[in-house]
Amino acid sequence: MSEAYPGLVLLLVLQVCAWVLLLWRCWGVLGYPLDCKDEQGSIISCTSISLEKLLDRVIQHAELIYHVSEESCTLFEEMFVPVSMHTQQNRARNTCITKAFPIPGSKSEIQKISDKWLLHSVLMLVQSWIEPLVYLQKTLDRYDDAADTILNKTKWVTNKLSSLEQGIVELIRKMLDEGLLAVEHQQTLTRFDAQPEVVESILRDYAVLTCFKKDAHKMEVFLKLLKCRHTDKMSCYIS
Amino acid sequence: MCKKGKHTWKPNPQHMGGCRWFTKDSLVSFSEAFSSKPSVLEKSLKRAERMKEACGAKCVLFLLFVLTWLVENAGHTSPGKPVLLRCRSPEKETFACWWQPGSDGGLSTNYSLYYTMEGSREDAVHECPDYKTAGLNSCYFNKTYTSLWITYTISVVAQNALGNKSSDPMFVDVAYIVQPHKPENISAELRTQDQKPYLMVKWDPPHKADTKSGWITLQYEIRLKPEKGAEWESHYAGQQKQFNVFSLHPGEVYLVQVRCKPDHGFWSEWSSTTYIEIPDYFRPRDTSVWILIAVLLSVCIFLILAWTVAIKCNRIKSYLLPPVPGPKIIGFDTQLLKSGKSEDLLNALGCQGFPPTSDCEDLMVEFLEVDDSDEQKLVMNEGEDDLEGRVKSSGNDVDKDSGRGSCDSHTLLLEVSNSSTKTYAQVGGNSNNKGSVKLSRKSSTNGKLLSFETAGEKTNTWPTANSSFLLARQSSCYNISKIHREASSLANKADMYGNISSAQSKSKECRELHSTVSGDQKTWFASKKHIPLLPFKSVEYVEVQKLNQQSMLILKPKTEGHKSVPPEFIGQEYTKVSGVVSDRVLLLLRDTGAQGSSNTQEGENQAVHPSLQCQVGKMVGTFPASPALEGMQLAASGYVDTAALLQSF
Repeated sequence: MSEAYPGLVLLLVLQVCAWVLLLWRCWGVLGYPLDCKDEQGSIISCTSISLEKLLDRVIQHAELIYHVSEESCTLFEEMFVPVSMHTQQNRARNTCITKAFPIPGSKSEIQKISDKWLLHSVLMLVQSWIEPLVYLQKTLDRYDDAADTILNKTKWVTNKLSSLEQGIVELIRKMLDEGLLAVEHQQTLTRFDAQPEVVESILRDYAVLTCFKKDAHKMEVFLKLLKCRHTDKMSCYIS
Repeated sequence: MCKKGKHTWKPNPQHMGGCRWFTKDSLVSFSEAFSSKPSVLEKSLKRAERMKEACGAKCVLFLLFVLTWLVENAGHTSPGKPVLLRCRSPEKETFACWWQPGSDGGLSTNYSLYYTMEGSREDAVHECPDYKTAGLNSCYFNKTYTSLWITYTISVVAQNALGNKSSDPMFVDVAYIVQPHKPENISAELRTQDQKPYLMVKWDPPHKADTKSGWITLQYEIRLKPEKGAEWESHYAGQQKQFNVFSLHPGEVYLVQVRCKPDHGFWSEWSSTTYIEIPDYFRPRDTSVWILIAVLLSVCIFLILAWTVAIKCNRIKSYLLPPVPGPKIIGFDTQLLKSGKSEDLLNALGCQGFPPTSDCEDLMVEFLEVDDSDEQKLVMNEGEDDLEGRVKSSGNDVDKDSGRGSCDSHTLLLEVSNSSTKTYAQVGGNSNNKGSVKLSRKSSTNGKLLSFETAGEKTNTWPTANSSFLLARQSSCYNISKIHREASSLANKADMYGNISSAQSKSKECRELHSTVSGDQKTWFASKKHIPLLPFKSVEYVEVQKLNQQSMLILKPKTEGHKSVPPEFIGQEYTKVSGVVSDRVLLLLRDTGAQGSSNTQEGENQAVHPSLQCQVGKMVGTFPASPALEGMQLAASGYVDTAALLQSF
């Protein structure tokens, strides 16, 4: 055996060399992430996503979320809300959840908001809706199977909202250089624990859907404004 | 004094003598009372009371009736209910609402719009800030009055002198009612790509919509149609501000329109039309049309040709492929063959004085020696005089019915040396085929060569195996077209004739003269003199099968068409060439004792070695009658028409 030992060692060394040679070309592919280009165009190895791409993805998320919430709203309205109630739509009753700080409704005012506050507003919106949507899923279960599509859409939206939250957190980190911890979602909606009536339940759910649709639109608009500011600051303020 | 009665009388100091009546109900003047009779007073009182009672309700009614009648004749009424048509925001910063007035009731009615905002107090009703900017029956909310994501509850009230009416409320959220203005500055430009024109349409968003800051995102759609076309062709362009349109018809004027829509909102109106003319150009499609026409033409021509050919089939066939004539020997009557009279046959062939069989040794025969190597020489041995054979060459006088057809004409020249007693016909063979097999006759004395040259496509290899005979394939033909020799040299020898006559007629077949060589034996082919070309019309080939050691030429008729071999007749016959007649006829000897007929070996490559008891001078060869050969009988003299030799293998 001692005679074979050097032979084995040699074999092992040869194998390693062969593998190294084989994988030499792929070395970068195996280990490194995709190459990114910085502003000068030279290829650097990047370890994370660039800001433009992140913004684009975040905006895509927000657009999709709005689109799906609009569909859910329309479906719910067709299926469950009586025609007589359509016009009211609970808006007069203002059942939408009030936020910590009001968001202005005009373009001029919104454009006065700084990047920081825009981002924080979006983050706050996103975080405030995760919990009610989870609750909405539970209430939608009480309906018959006709609400399955709405339930699926709501589930989908909840997932997307979570990833949107992560994206916003990342965005804040990159743009504002702030570190944020994940906020714990508190149980704020305790008043819906009681078993409501059917009509009341329908109206409440409808209110949730419409309010969410509105907030989703807000998120989308804010993010798009943010993107413009990031790409070309000067032209964004010319209106 | 006044009596007191029902009524109380009070003396009136002024009216002396009179009493006044004072009642609770009424006061009647005494004077009147005194002036009239007390019964009239009473009547009037009663009458008044009755009138009072009867007149009240009626009067009221009457009055009312009169009043309403008056009013209705004049036509004024409270206004009808107005209807809110729509509210739109062109850029998500302002918005306007329009309503439809109801009937105005004949009086001047004014309309006012009231709204409340979600989130504010319920009783905070505001009125429209601007009734003019957006036109008649409209309300315009400018930037200060517009808030996004807030629900407005809007209603219109129509009011006139006689009343007012309120419309149904409308709930508006500005973010969802966006309908932009039309796109602007539409330009259509014609460009070409790979000789194909396409239209590049560019436009600008409406100037009010703030797409630059991302406040509003617009999607576009363009449509176009030819000027005389009926339907529009729509294309969705996404968020880009230009679009390329392909598949245009040249020479037409196109109308182009663009409209836009925010991601959630309404489509704008179609923009103003832009006209663009596409110039004519040669479409590549036209070349394919020409190609199609060419193909159709060629197909038609082909069909016509085919039809012509079909009609004139037979004529064309006979023109292209002339029929191979049957075997015809001039002066030779095939009926004689059938009848079986050999004397007549032979006489017809002009074989007068055909020498009877005699010893082979008596004849000066010349043998053609064929070697099986490249330098094979067909040696002609002139030893045998009795060798008779008839090898006919039909070389020069090949007539048209020779049926040589497409065979290469291989001239097989046999030159006999003059002075040599022994001439050798050498067969130079290519051992590799494909070349010419030279049968050359060489004289041993003077070295003349008798060359048989033939070139065959598939020439034969000269086998060196002992007992294998080489058969040249059907494509190689040796046409002993000319066997001639110098008369003088071999004149004293046995004349040998190669008389090859065709016994079969097939269009392209050549009778092959095979010079097969065995390993140690050489075939001899002897031709001494000029072989007369008998007036035969066809060419036959005789296979020189074997030359045995006694210098005898064994000829084997070779035919094409192996299939037609009568199985009982596959054998090779050997004959000794006894002489040459007129330089053209090879007289073959007949061997009465040969046993060739018993051999029925098959196979193209197989050769039969009948034991040929050929002695020089004797005639060898047996030619059994073959039914295929039309029963030709052989003369006892041994003269054989090689037609009888022709067997198919």
